[in-house]
Amino acid sequence: MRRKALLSVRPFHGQMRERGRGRETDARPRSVTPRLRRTLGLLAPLLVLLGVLAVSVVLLGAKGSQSFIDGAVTASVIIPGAIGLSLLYGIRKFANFAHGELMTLGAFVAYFVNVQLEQSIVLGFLTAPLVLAFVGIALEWSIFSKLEGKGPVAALVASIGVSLILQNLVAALWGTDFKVYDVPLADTIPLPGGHRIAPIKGLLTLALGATFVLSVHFLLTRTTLGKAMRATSDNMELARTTGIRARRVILWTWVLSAALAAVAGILIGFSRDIRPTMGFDLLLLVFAAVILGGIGSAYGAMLGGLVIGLATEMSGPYLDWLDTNAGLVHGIAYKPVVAFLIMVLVLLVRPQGILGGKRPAGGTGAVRWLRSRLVSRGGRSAPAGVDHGL
Amino acid sequence: MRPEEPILRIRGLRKAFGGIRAVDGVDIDVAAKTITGLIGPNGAGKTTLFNMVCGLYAPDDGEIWLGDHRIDGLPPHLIVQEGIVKTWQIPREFRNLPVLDNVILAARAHPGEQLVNLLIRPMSSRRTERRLERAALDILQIVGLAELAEEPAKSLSGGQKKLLELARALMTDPQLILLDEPMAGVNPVLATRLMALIQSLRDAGHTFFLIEHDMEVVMSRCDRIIVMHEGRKIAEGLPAEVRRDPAVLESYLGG
Amino acid sequence: MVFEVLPGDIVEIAAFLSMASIFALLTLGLNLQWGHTGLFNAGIAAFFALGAYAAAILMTPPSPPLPGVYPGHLGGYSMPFLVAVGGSALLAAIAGLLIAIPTLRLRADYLAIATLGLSEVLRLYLNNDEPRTGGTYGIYQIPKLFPEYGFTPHQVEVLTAVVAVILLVVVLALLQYVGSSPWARVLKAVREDEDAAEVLGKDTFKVKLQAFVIGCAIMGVAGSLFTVFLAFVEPVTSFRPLTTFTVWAMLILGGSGNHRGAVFGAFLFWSFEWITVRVSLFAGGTARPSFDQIDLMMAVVTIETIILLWFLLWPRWRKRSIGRFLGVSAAILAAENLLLASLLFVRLPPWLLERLALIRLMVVGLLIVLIVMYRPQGVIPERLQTIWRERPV
Repeated sequence: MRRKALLSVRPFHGQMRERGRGRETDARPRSVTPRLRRTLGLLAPLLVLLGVLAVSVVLLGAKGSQSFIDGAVTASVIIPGAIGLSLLYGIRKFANFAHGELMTLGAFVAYFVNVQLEQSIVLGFLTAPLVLAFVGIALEWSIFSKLEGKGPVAALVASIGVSLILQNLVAALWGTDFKVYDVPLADTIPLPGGHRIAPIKGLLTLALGATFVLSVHFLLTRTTLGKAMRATSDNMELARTTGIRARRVILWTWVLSAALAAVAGILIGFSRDIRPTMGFDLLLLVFAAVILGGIGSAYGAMLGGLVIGLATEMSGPYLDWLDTNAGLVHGIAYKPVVAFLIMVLVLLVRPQGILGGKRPAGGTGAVRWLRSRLVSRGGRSAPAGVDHGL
Repeated sequence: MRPEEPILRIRGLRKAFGGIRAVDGVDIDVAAKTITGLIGPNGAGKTTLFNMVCGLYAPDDGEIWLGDHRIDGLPPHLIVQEGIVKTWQIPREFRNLPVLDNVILAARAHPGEQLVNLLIRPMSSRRTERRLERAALDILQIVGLAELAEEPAKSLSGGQKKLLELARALMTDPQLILLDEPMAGVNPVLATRLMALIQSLRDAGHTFFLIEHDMEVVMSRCDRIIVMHEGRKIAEGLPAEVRRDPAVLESYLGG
Repeated sequence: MVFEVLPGDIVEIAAFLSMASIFALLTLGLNLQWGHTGLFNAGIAAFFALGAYAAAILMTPPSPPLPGVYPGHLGGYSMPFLVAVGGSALLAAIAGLLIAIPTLRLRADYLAIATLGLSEVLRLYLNNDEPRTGGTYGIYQIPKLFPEYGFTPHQVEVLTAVVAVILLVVVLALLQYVGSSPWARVLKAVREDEDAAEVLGKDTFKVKLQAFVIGCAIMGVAGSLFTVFLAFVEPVTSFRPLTTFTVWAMLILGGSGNHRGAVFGAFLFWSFEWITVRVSLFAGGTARPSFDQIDLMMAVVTIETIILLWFLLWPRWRKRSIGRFLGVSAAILAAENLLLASLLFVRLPPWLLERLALIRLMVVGLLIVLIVMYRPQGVIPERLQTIWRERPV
């Protein structure tokens, strides 16, 4: 029983990092972040890419700009997957390693409708998200709701289990040989400047990607549900107090995440073979996009997906050059490495990503931290703004 | 070191988060073998100051000196090596370890904790472990937890956990102990016992610097009081002086 | 049913022991990183692969590339096995160090993603850098153990198993020694509450780094054993993320934080795999299992159950009745053997047989989910450990 103290209660949120006990206290008030810095942060990667594009065109001509087009297509494949993963990560607070399998399942459902039932692929586009939505709800209801509050690792490991179940279920039901959709995929259409683009693989994918980006934007900004999702992702406790039914929001997030995964899966199926590992193979790129953009932010996922897609494809001609000139055997196979390097860079320098809010508990820029470890004792002034500990 | 010489010297310390200046240019001296209290309304910057002294935050500006060593900006584990230890406001014991191990862990230089020594000098490590075991039991005796030495720390009551925090602090053989709200959540009986213990430790030569909101404790037990408000020091001196200081009264009533 | 052990059976048992020990080593390494320190390593396959390839490169005799047939690989040093073990451990440890320095500060799930990415990038490299790694062909014609003594293939298999088990026991002993030391106590404290440990004067980063690197070194040793066991390495099937997830499943099943649990989980899991592979070979279809084959499975299962039960129950039952221990063991053994004997008469439909491996993986996934939800501490939970103390706990 405390004695009464003579003080007025003025809330002040110190930046306390409580690890092990699992508490993440939000530190800085967001309104204080200068907008200019944010906008610059947003634009910086795009400007870098445009710079790389310019250099590529100068050095490699049409090959350089072709890789930009290819990159846009790849981005359209990554973005829906990244949005879904990021939203779920932000609300359920765990990395869903089964997200790749959700994409795979979506692709196979569409395959079932398109090839085995001999319907139009459009019906596939409608059925797959529906089926996946139910799968998502089932997963939440049976597994992940029960793991709430047990920390990010428990759910992550459970999602690994789910990934094993789903991937092998798909393989058991459909077999492991490579499949394709029943759509015209191969021929490419010429574009001005000596470029080429495939109608389905390229144009349709781009169009669908853009459509979904706009739809998600509309959902998040104009609908009540969307606003509720953003609020819950930011701060679930606070959102609850304003009357938002977290249960509902969580379920709808699963629906959205799984449905977007389904779409992403079908788009993958357009540009690559349909097989049980197709989703997992892209998971690294999707994770890179989510981390780059900031966990929990749909717009971050869009930006991250764009950057990762473009960067991965635009590195192609350079890797090719390294192949012929520097002995990097099978150079273009290393395209995913670019995404990995970007991801590691983000984790080192700014783990919360471009649009992520607070510095995550237990994550501090390793570069700054390393610098702080290297300073010697005594007789020097403290470096400004270096964060310690953790 | 003569008793009057300050053991801890803080000069011009600053720390800001975003746009909020939590600590805005603070100069503080803490004399050896005293109990110095740090008070102020919530948001005054006391915890931030403590966290800078013990190394959890790095100051944006300013200096912190322990004796003639400069320690600002050092990581927490090196600051403990220098001789400053902090206890947590809400006790952070290692729940699944026995109480005795919790205390032994606090020892500063245990060769058995260096992997290399385990391989090339195992006997010396074992000898040190024996010695530290005895030292830890002695300390547990002082705080009154000796019978619970083998219990897992999670089985302790709240008050006992506070005592454990103190025991661990003592085990680091510190020059200065920072206590973050030692009376928080403690019943009056234990609070009295705790403060009596701290005072007897001070008499034995330890130095305490504590944050506390319990005015009665602060006024009656501290040798010296420093008052902070909105990141700055607004008053310091003997309890009687501070109590009458109009700036202090205004900060509490007006804040 | 005559219980006779044929020479071929011994080889099979030896192969079983070898692989189980390799996986046990991997799981022990992971246990040090996760169970003792709280570091989520999702790139186990990478360190395993590095160890395996290092051993392969060190042990093979020179084999120049054959254009159009085989791209060639680094190596030709023809080192003995012990050197290869050292080299594998070293390479894996260095890789672990390089990866850990930037990433150990990250939250557990970020570390998982980063290490998963690492293992995928490494696999990409192993698949593609053909002149140096042999590409998707891998590296072949790796000499087995101690070729200079001229053992028969059967003897070599048994020898490999013996060496594997010895290595496992050695590593286990080392880990037990280190695991009850004050160093391990610091590790436990760091896992519980890193900030509190740091404020108490512990260099938490150094200790985490040490645990991580040692774990990686152990995984490297497992890799060298793997190389010597298979006599070839290839990147396509052995070092996939599935391998990483399998080791995780073993640790979760057996009980993390506990070395015995890690070995238990690995052996249990591996026998599950081994049995289902054999069931899919024998049960149903046109190939009826013979008495000999059933015998073999029963023999392995019996030995294994005894070992596992000893591992699991002995500490608890040592003080109680031996009779009950024997009774329970006998019951479990009887049930297992009956199940296997029934394979002589049961016919599994072909669609099931073909997909047995996939179903097994689905069961593994399900097990992982169930354990995380209902018994996260695994089968053998961690005990309150004493550090070098004479006083009883």
